[in-house]
Parts: sequence; C-alpha cells; structure tokens
Amino acid sequence: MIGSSAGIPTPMSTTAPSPPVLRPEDADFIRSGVSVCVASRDVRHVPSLARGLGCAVCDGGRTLRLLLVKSQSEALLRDLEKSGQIAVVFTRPSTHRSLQIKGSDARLETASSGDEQLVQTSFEAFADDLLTIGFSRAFTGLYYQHEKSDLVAVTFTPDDVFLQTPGPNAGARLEPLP
Amino acid sequence: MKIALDTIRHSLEGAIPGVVATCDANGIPNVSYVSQVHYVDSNQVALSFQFFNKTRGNMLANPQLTAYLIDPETAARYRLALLYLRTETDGPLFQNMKAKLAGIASHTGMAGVFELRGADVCRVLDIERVPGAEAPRALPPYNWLTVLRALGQRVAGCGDMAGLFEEVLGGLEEMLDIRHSLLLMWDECGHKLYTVASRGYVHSGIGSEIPLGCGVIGVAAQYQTPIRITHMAAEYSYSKAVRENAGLDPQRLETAIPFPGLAEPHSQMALPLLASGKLLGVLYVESAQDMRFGFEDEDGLSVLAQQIALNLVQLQQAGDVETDTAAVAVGASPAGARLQIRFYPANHSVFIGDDYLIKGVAGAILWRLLHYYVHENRTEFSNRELRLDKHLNLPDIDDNLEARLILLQRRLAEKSSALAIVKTGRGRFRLQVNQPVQLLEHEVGAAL
Repeated sequence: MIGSSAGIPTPMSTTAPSPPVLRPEDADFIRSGVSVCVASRDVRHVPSLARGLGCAVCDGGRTLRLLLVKSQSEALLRDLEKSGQIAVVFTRPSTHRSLQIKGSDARLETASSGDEQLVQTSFEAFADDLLTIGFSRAFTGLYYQHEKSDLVAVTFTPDDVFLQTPGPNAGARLEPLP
Repeated sequence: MKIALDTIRHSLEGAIPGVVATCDANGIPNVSYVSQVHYVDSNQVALSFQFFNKTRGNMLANPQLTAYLIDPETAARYRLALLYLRTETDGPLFQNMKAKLAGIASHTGMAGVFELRGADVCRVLDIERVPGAEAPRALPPYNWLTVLRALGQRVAGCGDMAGLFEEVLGGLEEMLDIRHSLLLMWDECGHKLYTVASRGYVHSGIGSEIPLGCGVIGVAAQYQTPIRITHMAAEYSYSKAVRENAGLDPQRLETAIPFPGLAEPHSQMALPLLASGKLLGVLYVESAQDMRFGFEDEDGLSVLAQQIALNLVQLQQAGDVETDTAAVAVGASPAGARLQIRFYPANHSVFIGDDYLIKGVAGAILWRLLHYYVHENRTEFSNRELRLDKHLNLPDIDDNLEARLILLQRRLAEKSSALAIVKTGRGRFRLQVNQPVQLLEHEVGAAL
C-alpha cells in the first residue's frame, strides 16, 4: 500500500534496462567532497533524517550506494527498510552547489572494506572543502569517526534529480541527457 | 534525559546551516538546507523561509518536520522533531531573522540571493542528541552572571544620567572588552534617536541622529527587539540606511554631525531600552570582528538594557523633584571680543561664530538660556523651569530633558570654549559664558 502511493513514476524507473537519470557531471559531483544528508519517512509520513559519510555511484549511475553510521541513523534506517522512500541532498559547502536525488527502492546492505575506503576518501575531499570556509580538519574528522561494525550501506535507484543550489532555479528537475 | 532547547543554542546561531526533512501528501520525503533555525523561545524555533520550494510546500501540507543541527564548536549533533505552526512576515521575530540572514548572506557570498520572506515558526516536540565524537567547548572569556552582577551594581549606583551613561559604556569596555559602543535616546516627536554617549570612536558623534527603522539601531527601536548581526551586512550600514530614508525631513534630521560608528562593522547589536513598554533609547555595540556577539551576549546585554531603562525612568522622575532656582545675578561680565551666536527658528539650529553647534530641541533650549542670560542676566537654571517654560514649548510627551541637556553640554564641550553647561545639583545647572556674546535671530525661512 505504501509502495503504491510512493514515488513519482517516471519512464526511467519502470523500464529496465534504461539510461540512468543521473548525468555524468552529477555523478562526479556527488562522489566529490560533499555533505550527504539522507531523509525518509515513517508510515504516518513523519520524516526521518541522518547524515551520511559518502556515496558511491554504481552501474553507470543506475544505482547509488550511501554509507551511514547505524547508531546515528536508527529511525531513518527503520523507515528506509519499511518504505523504500529516500531523498538525499548533496552539497558542497564552499559553493552551496546542491543536488537532491530521490528514489523509492532503498534497501540496506552490509558495508564492505571497500565502503570503508570510500568513507576515508570522502572525508579527505570534504575536509579540504570545509577548510576553505574556516572549519578545521580536526573538526570535520569528528563527523567521520565511527566503529567499522557501525557502518551500513543503503543502495537505491535514482528516480529524480533536482537542482537545489540556492537561487531562482532551485528545485528544478534535471532531465537526463538524451 | 530530555534535552532543553535553551541548552543547545550554540547550534542555532547559523554558523552551520541546518538541514530539514519534510514529507509530501504522497509520502515522498524531501531534504534541504535552511539558512537559519532560529531560537524563538524555550519551546519554539523559526526556520528562515527564503524560497518557494518543495520544503515549503510539504510543510504547509504536512506540518511534521525533522531538523538536523550541528554545534559549530563541539560538533555535537541534534535531531529536532518539529511541528510547523505559522509564518510571520513582519514584526520583531521577522526583523530579527532578516537582519541575521543579511549577515549570513553577505558572509557566504549570497547577498541578493538570500532574502527573508517569512519566519516559519515551529514547536519543538523533541530533541535527540545524535551519538558521535565531540570536542570540548573552550572556556568562555567571562562569566556573564558575574559580569551582570557587577555591571548592575555600577548602574544602580549612578545618581545622574550623565554618570549612568559613562558607567554603562565604561563598564562594557572594562568587563566585556566591548570597545565600540553608543547610547542613543528616543525623540518621540521627531521619530528618531539621538546619540548622547559614545565610546571608542575618533569623533564622539554626540548629537548625531538615526531615523526610526534605519539600520540595526533604527530597526531595534522600531520593533522594540534586540537586533544582532554576526557578519558585515551592507544593507544595515548607517550610510545606506540614511540614504534610503526618504521619509524624514532633512531639516529635522541631524546630518551635520556624522554618525560615529565603524565604517564596516562585522558584528553589530542594538538593544532597545524599554520601560513599561515605552521606548527610551537604544544601547548599541559593534566590532570589526566577525561573530563577536553571541546569543549569551544578547541575553546578558538585554538584562543590562532593562536595568538601564529602569534607572533612566528613576533619574527622569528625580530630575523634576527640586525647588525653583531663584534668579542669581551674574557677576562680572566676561571680557574679550564679542562672539556672534546665530539662531534659525526654522529648525532651531544654533551657530557659534561660523560653526554649527546643534539643532532641534537642544538648540531651542540653548537659545532660551542665552536669551535669559542677555536680557535678565541669569545664569542659574533648573530642569523644571525649562519644562514649564511656555516660550520653549517643550513637547509634553518628551521626558528626556535631562538627556537633551547632556547632549547640549557635550556638544558645547566639544565645539566651543565660550559657552558651557555646568551641573550645579540635582535638576539644576549653570550656563557659563566665558566671552561676550551677541545674539542674532534669523527670520523663519532665512537661508542657512
């Protein structure tokens, strides 16, 4: 029932194999030093929210793999498992450039050692960006501290991509290249 | 343990933008940054509404929100369960957030993009501390309660208004290292504020004026709320404020005395002095440093502002409780060249020689005193007789005669050695004339 009312149906997400909705430059952006904020909602449509530590782009942009800390994301993970509904905003703090990506088939997966490596790479790039606006590497490092066993992966198919950089075009849906 | 909103205010200062998740009627979640999650009171926050976006649409359809905040110093993270209540598009809260957003926008290169359309007020239903590594908070440079106790004692011990002004601004510098400060009094008839005391500037700016609603000071006065900006914000600069103030008659606004404030303040805070809901004046502090004044400073100075206001009321009332001063004959007339003093009734401006001194109520008072001096040989006066002087026609609602006299006294001290106002007791003063004077009154409408 939840699944039937969820998600904005697009031709891209219902037929497979289909071209990814994510443009290559967007795929590059969300893998670079950006913040990752992940939202879902419960059965009563109360939103849940947590911060992620990185994002991998898989299958030519057809799947995104987010890394989160379990103990910091309990309600979100519960909601993702139940509804599959996901919204993620990626932002580069120094420029405010932001993208929001939505999907409806989110699922949890065990994190691998490759995921740990991705978190480390994301930290380096994100810390470099935050340094330019006055936040020390030590400060940023506090966000990335976690137990290996506490890391969890969330994968989903991007259905929709929205430009969210503040300004007149904020909220515009980005169409994939033909 | 339940976390109180009052205890996580470091994360509500806007140094790191908040993140807000919403959900639409179809169950599609949305997540976006919001420039401000602003502390309203112990149970409410307000989100800055800047754009008509999905967050806003969702919020109106489904008032359940979740916000994520980060303490910019300790990295402590908080998740807030919020319930949207209403949107305010004017008033103290809106003006407060608008000023703060102007600073944030300018600091982050978003001036002209970030513009406050409304303050979305939300009830805080729950606060969750997200587990994670945190850094300890540095010790604060001072203990505000201790400072307030000491400053309060200093203010309470003041027997006259001039002393009160000195104690306040001096105390701020000595105890809080606030090096640039001003006290302005409210002119209810003129709808403007005039500077009666300043500290930390090359030119004192005593007598300079700020129209209601202009800049940080004018907005604090108009909306009777503290206004605090933590970064340089061009739209709140004094020059822009005055330039855009087309509504006030330039004849009536003091423009000859420049406002003494910093050209580019990076932190500004103005606190209204209020007694029984009535505006008495504004206390203003500023700094060339970013984020110099935090919420604790706003809280602390607000308490101090309340005490200053109470003392001002007491001193104003005490100023009227004195007996009439009998006219005292002047002693030997001063020797030397005759000094021309000109008066323009159109705006009550007074010139000593070729130099502009003052206009408005203070100008009218000085002219009246000089009239008594020349025609009745009087130099001793009381506040009370001025207040009752029909010729002077002081506005009934103006309770700030003492402040006007302080303004006049200080302008004379800065601009002329020929005249001085010397306090001779509670509610009494002497006009000291050190040089022969000649009074010239210009007709109404005469060119300045």
